[in-house]
Formats: sequence, C-alpha cells, structure tokens
Amino acid sequence: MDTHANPGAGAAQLESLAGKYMTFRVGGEEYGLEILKVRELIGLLEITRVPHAPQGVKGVVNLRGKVIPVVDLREHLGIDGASASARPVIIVVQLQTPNGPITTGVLVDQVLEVRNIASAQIEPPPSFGRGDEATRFILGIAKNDKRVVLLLDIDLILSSTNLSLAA
Amino acid sequence: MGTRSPAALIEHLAGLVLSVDADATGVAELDRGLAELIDSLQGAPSAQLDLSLETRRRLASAQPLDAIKLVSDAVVVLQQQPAPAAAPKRVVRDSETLELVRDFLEESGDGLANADEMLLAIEASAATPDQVNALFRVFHTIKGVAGFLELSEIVSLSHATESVMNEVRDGRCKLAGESLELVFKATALLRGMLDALKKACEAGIELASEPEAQVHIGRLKAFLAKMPREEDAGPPITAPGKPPLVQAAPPPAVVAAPVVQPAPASAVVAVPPVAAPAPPPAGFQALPLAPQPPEVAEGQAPVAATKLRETVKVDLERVDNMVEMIGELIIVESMLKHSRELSTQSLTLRNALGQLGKISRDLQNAAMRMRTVPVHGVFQKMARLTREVGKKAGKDVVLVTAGEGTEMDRAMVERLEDPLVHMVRNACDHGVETPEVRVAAGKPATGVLTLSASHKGGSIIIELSDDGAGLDRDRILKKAVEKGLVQNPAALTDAEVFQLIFAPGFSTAAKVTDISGRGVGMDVVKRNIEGMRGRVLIESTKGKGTTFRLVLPLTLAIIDGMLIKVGKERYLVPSLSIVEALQPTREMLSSMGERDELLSVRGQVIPILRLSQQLAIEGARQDPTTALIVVVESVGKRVGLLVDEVIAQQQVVIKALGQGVGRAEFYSGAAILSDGCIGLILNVDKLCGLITYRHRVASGDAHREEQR
Repeated sequence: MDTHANPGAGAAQLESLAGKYMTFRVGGEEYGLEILKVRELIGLLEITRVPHAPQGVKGVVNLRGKVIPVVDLREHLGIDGASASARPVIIVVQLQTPNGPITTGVLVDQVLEVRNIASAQIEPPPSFGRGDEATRFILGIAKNDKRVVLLLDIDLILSSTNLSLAA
Repeated sequence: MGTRSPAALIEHLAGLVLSVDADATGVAELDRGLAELIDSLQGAPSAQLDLSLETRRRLASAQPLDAIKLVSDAVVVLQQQPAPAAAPKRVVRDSETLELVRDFLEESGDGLANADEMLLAIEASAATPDQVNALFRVFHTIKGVAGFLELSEIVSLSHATESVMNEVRDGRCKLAGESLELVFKATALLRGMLDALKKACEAGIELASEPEAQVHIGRLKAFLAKMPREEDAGPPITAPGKPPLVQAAPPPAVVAAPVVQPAPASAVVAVPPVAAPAPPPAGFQALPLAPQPPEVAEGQAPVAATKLRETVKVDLERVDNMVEMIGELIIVESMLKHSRELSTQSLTLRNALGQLGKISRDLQNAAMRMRTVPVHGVFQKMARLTREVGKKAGKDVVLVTAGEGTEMDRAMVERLEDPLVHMVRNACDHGVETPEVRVAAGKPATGVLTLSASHKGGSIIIELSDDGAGLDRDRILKKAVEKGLVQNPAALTDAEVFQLIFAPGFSTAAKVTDISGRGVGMDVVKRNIEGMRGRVLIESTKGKGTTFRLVLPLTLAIIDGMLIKVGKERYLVPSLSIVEALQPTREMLSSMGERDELLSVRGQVIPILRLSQQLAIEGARQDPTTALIVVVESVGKRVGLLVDEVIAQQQVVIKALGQGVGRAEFYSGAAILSDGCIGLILNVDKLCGLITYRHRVASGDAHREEQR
C-alpha cells in the first residue's frame, strides 16, 4: 500500500521532491517539511489537552483566536522520551484538502533553517522490513554537508491522526 | 444481466407483473426484479429509489395476490417518473457559470420571497397595479436569466406565469381565486426548482426535470386559453401552446396534459376562491389583531423601503472572520485593563483604556449585527405554510405576524425554521377548530395564528398563539399517568402539565390526537430550541387558545459559562444547564456496587460522575467532601459532576473545536479564556447521556468494571 516509500519508485517521484524545505530537529534527528506548506512559526503557547483525542494529538492552542490542534511528532516518529528542548516551537502548517484548507500545529524541538534540496541529493528511504511505523512517514532522505535530512510526509501524518484529510 | 438502465429494468418489472403467477416463486421473481432496479438506481437519491425501496419492503410482508398488485401499482408510478431522476448525468460547469447560477439563485430567491409576500397581501385585499407590476417583473426577471442559463423548464414555467400576470395587468382577469392560486403554486414550484438547481450544481450533476412543473404549465396554459383574446384568432386550446413558447417548447407528450388537466385544476381551486374575494373585509374586521386599513397601507410601504436601502453582499466567511477577530480584540482589551502593571498608572492611561473598552464593545455590537438578519423571511414562509396546511385540513386560518423586523443571528434564523414549521402545522391541524365548531363556540369562523418576535432583556422571544381549543389539562394528565410519566397528578402546575407534551413518545400522532390533538413533533421542537440554548414555554386556556413562547439567546456565538477546575485543567460548563453547586457532606453520599456513587439532595438521588475519571485528568481531588459537586441537568436527567473548584462565571465566545482532535464528543466547543488559554466547553447532554447508560446497565456491568 505504501506508494511513497517504495525504493523502486523511480527517479520521477524523487525528482518531484526537490525544492525548498524547512528543517527542524525532533529528538536527535533532522527533518524537513516542504516550505510551501508552512504558514508560520510560533513559540510554544500553552497547549490545552483534549481528553480522548487521538494518539499523537497533543492538544489545542489559541492561534490568534483560532483553535487549532497540535500534533506531537515524537509519537508518530516513534521517538521515545519527552522533549528536552529549551525552546520548542510549533510549526503551523496549512494543507489543502477537498474540504478546504486545514491548519494544524506541529510541535518540534528546534527549528533549524530553510534549505534548498536538489533532486540529486534525495534518496528513497530504506525499508527495515519490519512494517515500520516511522518510515512510512518519510518521503525521502536528503544528504548534504554530511548531514541527513528526513523529508516528512506531513499529509500522511496528519491524515493518520484523523484530520479531515481522510474524512 | 450486467448494467441495464433503470428504464429498462422498470419495463422488465412491468413485464414480470403481467407474467408471474401469484405464488411464492412469483413473489421471489418480483423481488429480484426490484432488487436489480434498486441496484441500478443506487447512488442517486430519487423518488424512484425511495419508491422501489418502499415497495420492496412492503413486498416482503405481502400476500402473493397483493404482491402483484403492489408491484404493478409501483411500476405505474415509476414509469411516470421521468428518467433524469434515475440517471443523473454529471455536468461540468465552469466557474463563470456557477457564479451566474449563484447570483441567479440569490436574486430569484429574493424575488420569490417578495412575490409570496405580495400574493398573501393580495389575497387579503385586492391587488394594486403596483403589486401586479412588481409580480410581473419577478417572473419576467426569472425567465430572462433562466433563459440565459438555458434552464428551459424554469423558463417555461415562469413564462406561463408571467403570461397570466400579463392578463391581469391588462385587466382581462383579476388576480383572485383561480389565477391567484395558480400563481401561488407557481412560486412554490419555482422555489423547489431553484433548490433542485442549487443541489444539482453542488453535486455537479444535471438538473433533473420536475414533472409537477410540466403539469402546472399545462394548468397555466389552460387558464390562459380561457382568456378572451383580441389578436389571437386560433382555437383557444392550442393557441397558448404555440406562439409564446418558441424558446422552450415542452415535449409534445406534455402538451397533451393541459387538455386533461383544466377540469380537475379548476375544481380543486374553485371552492375557496369563490368565497375568498368577498368575505375578507368582514372577516378581517372581526379579528382583533388584523386591522385592515393599516395593512393595506403597510403593504406598499415596505416595498418602497426595501428598494431604497442599499446593501452590499459580503461573503459570510469574511464576516465571521471579522466577528472572531473582534472577539479577540475584546479579550486582549480586557487582559490589558486587568494587567497589574497598568492599573497603578496615570489617570490619562486609565481613561484611554476606558475609551478603548467602549469602542471595542461598540465594534463588537456592530460586527454582531452584521451576522443578524430579520426574522421576516421565516415568518413569511410560515404565513404561506399556514395557508397551505389550513386549506388541507379544511380550516379557515390566517397568520398574523408582528415584529418581523426583529433581528437574530443568521444561523439561528435558519435553525428556527424547523421547529416553527412543526408548531404552525400543529396549530393549524389540531389547535384551531373547524369553522363549524368555531361558530358553534361563538368564535369567528376564521382562526387566527399570531406569530411575533421581540427582544426582551437579553433574549429573543418568539411567540406563536392560536385562538383554538387550547390544551386539555385533564386528558394530558390522564395519558401521562397511563404512561407512568407522572406519579402525583394533582401536585403539578399547569405549566408542568403542558411540558409533558414534549416528552418523547408522548407525541406520536395517534396517541396525542386522542389526548389533546397536540404534540406531533413537539419533542423535535423542544430539542431544536434547547439545541440553541433556548426554552419553550406554554400557556393555554381551554377554549381560548394556546401560546407557545420560545425564549432564545441573542446569539449562538456567545455562551454564559461556569469555569471549573479539575486537577490542573479548566473546563467550561454552560450556565444554562447548571442546577446548583454544592460541597456534599458525608451523609449525602452513598454508593451502588462500590463503583457508582450517588448524591442525595433534598430527597432526590443524583448519580455522580467523576470528571477526573471520565476525562482522564490527573491530580484531581478524590474525596467528594473536600471537592465540589456541580449538579447539571439535561433533558430532565440530573447528574452531579465532581470537580475540584468553581472558578468564575464568564461569557465566552464559542469556537469550533474543528477537525483533528478526533470525535471529541464530550465537548461542544472551545473558548478562549481571559488569559489567552483555551478552555473546553463540556457537552452536558453527552455527559448526562453517559450516566443514564451506565445506570441502565449498572447491574450487568458492575462486576466487569470491578475486575478492571
């Protein structure tokens, strides 16, 4: 079923991944999020927990009067432990869905930079053959300057937490 | 079989009806035929599908002999329903067309609403030339734009109606009796077709044909054919079919319809119109609430006034956005005002803050008013409904409205329509007596419904009164005792007795007609109104009539809530559903199977719901005697919520929790608290519902819960 992480998907798909990414850190790893989907960054606001919310949804925050859900990437990516970051940030992403745009906060440890990633730098994610939860959210792996950036499939993450993408 | 078209399957079914034997095998064959038809109709809701499903359902329990008759009846109807409904063709409309259609819908909707109003006024008194011209223009405009959009059926219908109006305008007939009836019906049909058009556009399918429209066009033409015509020498019946309808000639099969139609059509409408033109003056003067002369004067004034008032059409989302932002502004303003650093500063600063506060509140009011619309539109629909229902029930009923200018939140006006329909129907059907009974009781033969709207304090009051028979206290009580709803009938006040008619199940038609003739759908009314955080009050005097009073909040956007704290978390409980808050003593508490706790207050036993447990909140107080219990009520059920403390009562702007947080069924929304954080608003109905459920299964569930 996983069309994104198929190693044999060919160059065309990896080609389409090239572009500008916002990179950030969660745990010890560096991730990238397509810049066009990022609307803004906000410092950590107080998150109100929503009892009975799906796994991975940290709660809701007040974004200038709008109530938006905040997703904790640690849960999705299988990263253990609480954030040790002194300056956690919420990346506000806006996704286009058939039901109109939806806005969601994504909680990360630290925002790094905006980077241009060329298609030549991108490789398909390897499969570890254990039906891995975490790797299905990775579109590709980009390397440069000896650093590795994991390109996130944010649409899939958000739809897996029952955001209206799947509805 | 593969993919056969619905039409072919209906033919097949028609064949089966003639060929099968009246035995079990035959029935099975019919059933199979129906099943195939249903399959092929699947996916497109239509009258055909509904009928097929219904027929198949009834077939299951029918005797073989009846079965064939049943299916053959259905087939006859199915064959009459034209194909488009069965196979909606997908149509791609470009954005420009959609824009045009949207404008068309809006304009025509307004036009038809105006037309309705005028027609009702005309029915009450004679038509003025201005009104006739205005009506003519309405249909003319619709015809024009519809022609441009190639909506041939709407064109034909509005054209035929326009022609009738033309006859009236040229003085060849009066707009009363049959002609008025025809025009009335045409506006109803056009409205239905506009709705269908809207749906078709939204679904991206072809607009289905409306069979009733063709029939009505036939009626209109038959009516026109009876008109004396100077310039037209052709035979009366065929004449109207040809010349005016070049642009949208209906299929030949339909032209045949008018020839058959005239007789029944005029027969149907003949009865009321004969009486209509003459009696109104006498009938109206007899009514206390319908002074005739001012109404005529007013009938023209509003038309002129609406023309002068200029409006701008704004996307609703923009308005909502602005209202939301102003709400934020108010919160920030109050944060500023209450901040400790500022309060000690200079007088000028405080004055300026005061100014800011005033301006932002004015701004909020202005923004709120942008969301409001007058109840006028809904009231008008009710006038129309009264007319139709009254006619069907064989009663003479008029609706008098007052305070139509009262403005309400747009969303509420929409939600008000449903309950009002139920109430008006009830009042016409059961409240107002038949003319004979009324006359015998010494009342005027015409029943009067009064629908009014007004502001009172912080609420909007909508009242519907009738001058009918009133509710029968004794019979309601008798029924309630039978159903075990009431133990001590003598102790109930009238108001409490009347509230009984809202009890679900109390209102199924047959039973209630036995009691008082009231209550069909009354639980729906109550639920709708309570959904808007309003209340329904009833007053009734036997023989004199009944008044339903809806008390509604000014807006749906703001809620009065009690902020409570459980552990470290804060939640809002709508003040409207709170009965009391108390700190229980040890004696007030008892338990059931160690799990289910109960609270006794003044002889009443109330189940306790631990919010900390239900919402998985950590660090909450566990001992009820050191915590607080907030008793809430929903649909007559009381539940005590165990909370740590009650912080404050405050008004908050309700925000949708939106998607992304799962089903979140225990919250009805979220609100920004005064410190900028979000507080979830508890859904008391759901929480109370939970307890009722646990209550019922408590015996079976008790040890399962204990084992955990």
